[in-house]
Amino acid sequence: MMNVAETESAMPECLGYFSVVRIEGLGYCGGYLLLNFDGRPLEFHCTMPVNPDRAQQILYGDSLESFLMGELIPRPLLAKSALQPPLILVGDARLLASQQWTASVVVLLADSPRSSQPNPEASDPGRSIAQHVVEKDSHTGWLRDLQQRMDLNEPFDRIDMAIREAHRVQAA
Amino acid sequence: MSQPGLPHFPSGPAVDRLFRQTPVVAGPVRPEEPALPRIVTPFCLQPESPAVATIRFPFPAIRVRSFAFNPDTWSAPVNRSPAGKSAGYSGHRAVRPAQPGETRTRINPPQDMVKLSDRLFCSLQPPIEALLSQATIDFPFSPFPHQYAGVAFLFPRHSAILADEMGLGKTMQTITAIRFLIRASMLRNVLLICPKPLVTNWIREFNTWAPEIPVCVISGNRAKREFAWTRDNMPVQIANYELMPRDIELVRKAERDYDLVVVDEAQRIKNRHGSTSKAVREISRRRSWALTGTPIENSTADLVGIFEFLASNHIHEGMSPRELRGRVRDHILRRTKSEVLQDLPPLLQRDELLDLHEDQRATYRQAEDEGVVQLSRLGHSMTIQHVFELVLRLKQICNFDPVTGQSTKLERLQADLGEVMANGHKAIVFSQWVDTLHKIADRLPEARPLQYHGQIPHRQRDGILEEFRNDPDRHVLLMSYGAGSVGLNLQFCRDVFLFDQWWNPAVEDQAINRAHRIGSTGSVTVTRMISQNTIEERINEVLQRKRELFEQILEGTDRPPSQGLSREEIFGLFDLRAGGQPLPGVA
Repeated sequence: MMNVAETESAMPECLGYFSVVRIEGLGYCGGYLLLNFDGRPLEFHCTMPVNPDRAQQILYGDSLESFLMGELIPRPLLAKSALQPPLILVGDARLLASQQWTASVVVLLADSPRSSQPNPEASDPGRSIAQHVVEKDSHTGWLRDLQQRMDLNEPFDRIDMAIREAHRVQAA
Repeated sequence: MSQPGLPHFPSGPAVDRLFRQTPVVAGPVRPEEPALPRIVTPFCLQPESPAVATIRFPFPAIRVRSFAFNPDTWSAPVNRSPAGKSAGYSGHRAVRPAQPGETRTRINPPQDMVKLSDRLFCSLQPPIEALLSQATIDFPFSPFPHQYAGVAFLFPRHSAILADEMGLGKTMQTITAIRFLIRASMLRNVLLICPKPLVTNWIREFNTWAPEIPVCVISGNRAKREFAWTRDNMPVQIANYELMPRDIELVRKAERDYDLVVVDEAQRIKNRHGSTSKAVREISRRRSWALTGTPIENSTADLVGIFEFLASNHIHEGMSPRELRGRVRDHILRRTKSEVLQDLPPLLQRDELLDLHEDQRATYRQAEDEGVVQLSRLGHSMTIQHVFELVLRLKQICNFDPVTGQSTKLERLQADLGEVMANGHKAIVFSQWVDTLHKIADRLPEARPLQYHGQIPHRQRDGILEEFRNDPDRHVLLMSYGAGSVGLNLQFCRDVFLFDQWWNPAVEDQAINRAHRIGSTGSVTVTRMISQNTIEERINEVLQRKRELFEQILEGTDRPPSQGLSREEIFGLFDLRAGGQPLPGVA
């Protein structure tokens, strides 16, 4: 499996951003954005809303969101991409479980405003997830260079907006 | 080992309750979610173990929509030389990257953008600040926040009016948007049409803000122009309005199809029946942008005329101001300096009401009385032109008494200019008559004024402005409204004198904004010279009403519409009565 150290010397062709947004009245929507090194969009994939019903909420309980965000949504979503980024950045610890559906390394941005959720390893120690938590001041290679060029958290906002845009247009 | 999505449940009351709900249906499905199918959850009792139920509860298959975008990386040309930049230019530099938490200017899709992939392409772009901060795109100066917003406005639009108040940098915003679009491979050829005196200004601005983009000016004799029109390998071509009625035949012959046509000072095409407007509209293009600080000079017909170029039949004159505003809102971006430039030096305006000299007053009275009598004698044969002739005659007397040469305005101007020179400042004096400018120049030899008007050949004009800018002994520039009101950057001037007023407040504002714009180093004082109890005072009231019309459409107020200068208003200047149709407007 790739890790950050292995990608240090090579400039990646693209970088992945994966996010799941819960939209009131619609449900959970996944968005997967691939950017080039200048932050320009190359591909975007989004899921139709997933709206668990009452029975599903009861049956899955507290694990529902982790299941949706780490397993159900990323599996088809990440498979759609024609490009293979070395890293997929996520801003929420629950999304780290998506590692099982991709050969890319799923990385949690430790300083992301979205990372306020508890680390799933703490609540589910049996889960086998390859993850790398990137601390703000410990970057190496191109990732450090990338952070000097752009705000690494900013593309999550784009995913949010694009998901809302997609569903607003479709609803019209 | 359980599979994800297939949890096991123990027996007990909870399972019993579930069993009574046979089958379990995920629902209810709301009407706004047609894509989400109803889910039927199968379950079964395992006979060998009646106390244990396995519930299969699959989520529906997740549908994914995918969008791929042009992989163009906006790579910048390498080995770009900074040579050829304008004087005072100190070299390009990259804009500082936006920091987390800082304001970000997004490219929002316009309302008339239908295709979802196009809308997402806009939404997924980096913020404008991030684009500008990339090492491959550099700028001579850091743009203002409103300029970021202007670029984000233009970038996705196929029909747009950038209607910023003069001095906010419409040129820079347009060039930057063009630069981005060219780099994104979304533009290959652009035609920019502007008034002839502004061609050199546009070349200079392109050189400053996008030096890597080759610019070709369409000029010269017919053979040269014909060749220029056929050059489809030039990213940007600049033509002037004066050429267009003649050259439209050449454009037709060359079968040009532009990705973008930009019209600067778009009020020049407000008359949709004019030959210039028709020629410009005939040019084949995919995008149409109009730049003007005054999309409405006289009446809503001006805006309708400009929209004929942008999006034909999108609006029409019969619409109410509220309706018009709703239709054009997404196509127009209008900011004023007071809104966006909190740190711009203040603009101080004063109306200098001056009494005519005794002899000058006598001449004026005689001319007005005789004129009104003559108009009355004309009876039904009286036309609006007759009234205009009298108005112009009276205004000229307000400037200079043709009998004695007396002028209270000039005396006041001399006094004010003395102060300007003593302070080492520079001033612009505007008049609508070249003859008046000559008289002022003759009477102010100590100020060594320079003149810039229609009688000055175009090839000399840039030199005059350079001399005025650089020679510390040149304190005064005498300009006509026609030649000097648009496109010129004279922000080093601290005083503007309007020796007489134009019919149209928009032209007057253009004149003022030569000095009061980005780059102004101190407050700018505008002095309107108005002769008391004369036609000038009455015209001033009419101009005030026209300003209010502009605000109704563009500032969103709900005051009743005005149709500009009606025939009654024109005749009302002399308390004359006339019937007939309203005038479409007087410019």
